[in-house]
Amino acid sequence: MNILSRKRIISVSGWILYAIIIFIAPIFLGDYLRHTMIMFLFYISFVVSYSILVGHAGMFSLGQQMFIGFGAYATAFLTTQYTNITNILITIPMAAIFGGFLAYLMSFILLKLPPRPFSMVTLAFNFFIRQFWNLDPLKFTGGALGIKPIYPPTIEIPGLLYIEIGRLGMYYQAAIMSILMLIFYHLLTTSRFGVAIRAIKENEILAENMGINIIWYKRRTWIICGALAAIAGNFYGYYLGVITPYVFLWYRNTYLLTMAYLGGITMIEGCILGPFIYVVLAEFMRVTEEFRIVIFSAILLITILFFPEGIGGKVKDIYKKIRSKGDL
Amino acid sequence: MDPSIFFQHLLNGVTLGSLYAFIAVGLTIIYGITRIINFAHGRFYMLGAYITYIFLQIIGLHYFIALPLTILTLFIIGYLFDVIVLRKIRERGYVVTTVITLCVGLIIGNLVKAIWGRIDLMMHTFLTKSVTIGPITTYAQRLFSIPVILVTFWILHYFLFNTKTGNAMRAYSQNQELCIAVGVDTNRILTFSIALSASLAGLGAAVIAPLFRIFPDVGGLPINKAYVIICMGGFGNVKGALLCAFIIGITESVLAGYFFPSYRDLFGFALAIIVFLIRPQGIFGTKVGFEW
Amino acid sequence: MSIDKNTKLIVIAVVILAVIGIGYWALRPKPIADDEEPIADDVEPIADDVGPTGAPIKIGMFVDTTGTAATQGLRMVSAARMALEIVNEEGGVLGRPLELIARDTASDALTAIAAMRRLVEVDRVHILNGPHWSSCCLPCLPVSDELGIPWINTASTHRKLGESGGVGGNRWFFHTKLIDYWFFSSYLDILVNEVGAKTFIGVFRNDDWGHQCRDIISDYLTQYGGELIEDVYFEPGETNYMPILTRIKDLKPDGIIPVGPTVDFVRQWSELGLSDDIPLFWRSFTFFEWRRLLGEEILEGIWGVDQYTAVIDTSENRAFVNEFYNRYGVYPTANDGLVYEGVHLMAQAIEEAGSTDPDAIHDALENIEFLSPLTGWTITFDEYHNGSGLIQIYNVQDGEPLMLYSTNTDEITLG
Repeated sequence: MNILSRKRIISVSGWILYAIIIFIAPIFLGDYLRHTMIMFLFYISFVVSYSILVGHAGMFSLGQQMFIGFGAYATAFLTTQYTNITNILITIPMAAIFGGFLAYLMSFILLKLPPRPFSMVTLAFNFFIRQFWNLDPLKFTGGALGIKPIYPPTIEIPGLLYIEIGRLGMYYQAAIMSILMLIFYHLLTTSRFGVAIRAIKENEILAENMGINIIWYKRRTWIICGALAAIAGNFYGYYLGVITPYVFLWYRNTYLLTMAYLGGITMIEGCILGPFIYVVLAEFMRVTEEFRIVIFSAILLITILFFPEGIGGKVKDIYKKIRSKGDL
Repeated sequence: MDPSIFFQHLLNGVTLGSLYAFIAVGLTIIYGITRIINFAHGRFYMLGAYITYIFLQIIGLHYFIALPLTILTLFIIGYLFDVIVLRKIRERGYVVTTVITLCVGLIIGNLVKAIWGRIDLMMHTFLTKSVTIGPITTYAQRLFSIPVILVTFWILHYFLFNTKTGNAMRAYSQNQELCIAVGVDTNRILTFSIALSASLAGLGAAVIAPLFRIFPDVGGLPINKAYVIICMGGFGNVKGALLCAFIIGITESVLAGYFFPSYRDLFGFALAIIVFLIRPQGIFGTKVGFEW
Repeated sequence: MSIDKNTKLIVIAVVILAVIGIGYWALRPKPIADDEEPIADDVEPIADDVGPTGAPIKIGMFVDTTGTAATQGLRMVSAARMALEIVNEEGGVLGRPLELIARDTASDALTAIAAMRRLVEVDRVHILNGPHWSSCCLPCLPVSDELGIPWINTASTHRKLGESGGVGGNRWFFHTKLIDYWFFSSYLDILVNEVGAKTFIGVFRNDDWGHQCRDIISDYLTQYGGELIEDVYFEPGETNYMPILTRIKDLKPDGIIPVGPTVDFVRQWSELGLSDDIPLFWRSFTFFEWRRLLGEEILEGIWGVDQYTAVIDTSENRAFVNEFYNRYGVYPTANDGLVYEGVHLMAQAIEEAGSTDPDAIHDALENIEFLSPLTGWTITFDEYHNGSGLIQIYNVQDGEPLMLYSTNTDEITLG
């Protein structure tokens, strides 16, 4: 394919347009919409990790959001309890390492399980992490009262740079984080690693026969996705300024599932489209708030029945049909 | 060690195990027949609780009339559930069925919450009175669950092995194509199994829900355990589900009662993890079908 | 189909831009001049028989109306609406009607912040109430500094909230729900020294409220010469307390302090025959609800402590409780009563401020002396914007809830 093919030009310019919109948006938006945009960008970061895990590797986890909690707590530990480190150049990698390490520990049980118990056990882990974090028998989690405050993030390169990230700065932090996540997503899914995990999802036995070491890939995917979600959690901790074990409440999973599947679980555009549709819907749904869960469940149901590839997938399908009809 | 305390813990465990059993056995039957894990199953229990309440306290029937009526109503609900939901998604993959049953469960649960959510309800049957038997003082309702469990699962066993439909169910779960080839009416079997599972949950609710407050999320915590239980016992294996339900129920109650009461849920789960590490397909798990 | 594919792309792009545009237009921050008619102080108040007129004064409420705490949240909104009706019947505030806008926090911190911001920046409310969970309340504190609107919380119990308002740094934050050290400081003193119970087992909900209470109880018991021999935690939503209660039956403490269990706890306590031997010392007292669900005999001898209960015996409270029950089929809990009071308190503050200017309302709140219509107690705020309140200790005797002791935050010095 020609490097300057129409498809690639449209794709790249679409992304550049997206980045521009994201970066200039705060100028036009009031504080309320800025907060909504930050939620949107945060959800993108989470959906990226979920999309890799479920959409590409087929590891249907029902507890992925606990890593947000891990990342937020790692950040809290660094900024309040032990030393006062607010430098995101340190806290982000530390959050990723913390999340990745806990993922590594969990993988010893999880990877032994067939797919259905795998999902149940991730759900159970989420439940027990919450219980354990509240009870805090080993006295390191900060307990049920949580950790407050988490001081605002900074960027520090000793001798060169010192920036304190204020409220507006956090918007750009979220924006950059989400864009880096999307870039990582693209690189990972188009690499050999990505091809291998999709092969595993398609047909595990065949993949094994072709020489792909299933456990090796699954473990790394699980750890990477845990680390990614923990990075999102790092931002979450900074943005709220406080973290409590409520972050581990599992039922919120429905909304996260919805936004992951709405956009399209296997495509990068889906990572943006899903949270976008979710946030827009949530805004307009203020009128019937009591039925919010019902409506979102219904939406998820319809999506998964009729648009298994998400709305993004449907749009792509339509686009392909148009193109092929045009060729005839 | 005080024997009356020990027997009380044991009885608590049996009650808890019964609760898990009524839910888990239905769940595992549905899996065995349709290969679907029904994430809406907890709602059958919840509906059973509310329906029993309606028959008992709003309409005012006697408990022993309300009980079979509840079973019947849940049978119909299970039937409807299959026709409206499960039939459409039987051929789909694991993720799709999980998400769909999850959503349907949420929709049902939240609709009930919207209608009835603001008011807590408490059921009183003629059995929710204290009796003293030997060293234990407890509600008669709690003791009532023991004979019900024994009778129900004896009947279930008999049904699965000695009736045409039961045998057909077992055969179907082991080899679908052969059953179709032989001319078994698969739709009838499928729908019947699901209705049966729903009735089991409803029976469980009628027997055990009177011991607790009724609210829209009732059955929420036990159903989470039930998922782990059916994995532990082996998917589709009724004997496994039954056994593991009681193992977990009794372990939880006794160990938590004596040692770390705050970590009650952890004991059962730790046990399940140990089983998974040794034998990932579950205690009685096999690759094929469901069995007694 | 013969539509050119470029046209299709353009159409899709236009649709997306249109959606964004419509969304922005619907949600844009509205300029103040649009919906407010500032009333000068020397304008004649409108006659009562006409009812309050003019641009409504808006109260923004952000609580859980979905999720696990939806039941309480919805009840709190109901209680607020009842209060609103009464205020409007009596002429409104500054001659203007009160209006309530409720938004959902979904037990999620991000959604809580969004709800709070939306209430202030889009709905343009003049004063805020909420949320319920401390996990939603704490992240909203820095946001309130940005928003600059007075905010009265009547439901959260985290101890940091007691140090946050006023001189604690969050200027706009006011807090009327008493933090649990107020309750236990006198409650445990009475239980140990007058009732004579020395050893206790605490049964706590496994969340911030439960753990905080456990620490407070443990400290005070040590001070008063009692002992917390064990603390047991249960998961929120749990209804099966049998293992815990059986263990308690084995350990035979002088009393049980339940913090947060459901009414099932009382029933199972009675089922095991503990009602004669091991009394219950609740941290709350929802007697009418218990009686509605369980009947009176089981409740004999139970103790409770709270800031507001439905059994408070003033004519206004009885009227409120009856009306609440007639409308909603349940009896109001402490949070419902506090919200009801809160709305009246806000109304009085705005009256005294003479306008809806946030600074004026803030100053009015800081200096307010608010006589609660339900409890007869006069609420004032300290320098941390914590509202004073009652601590009332009850005991069920002969099927009746008796208030045996009553004290208040002014009388107690926390040790």
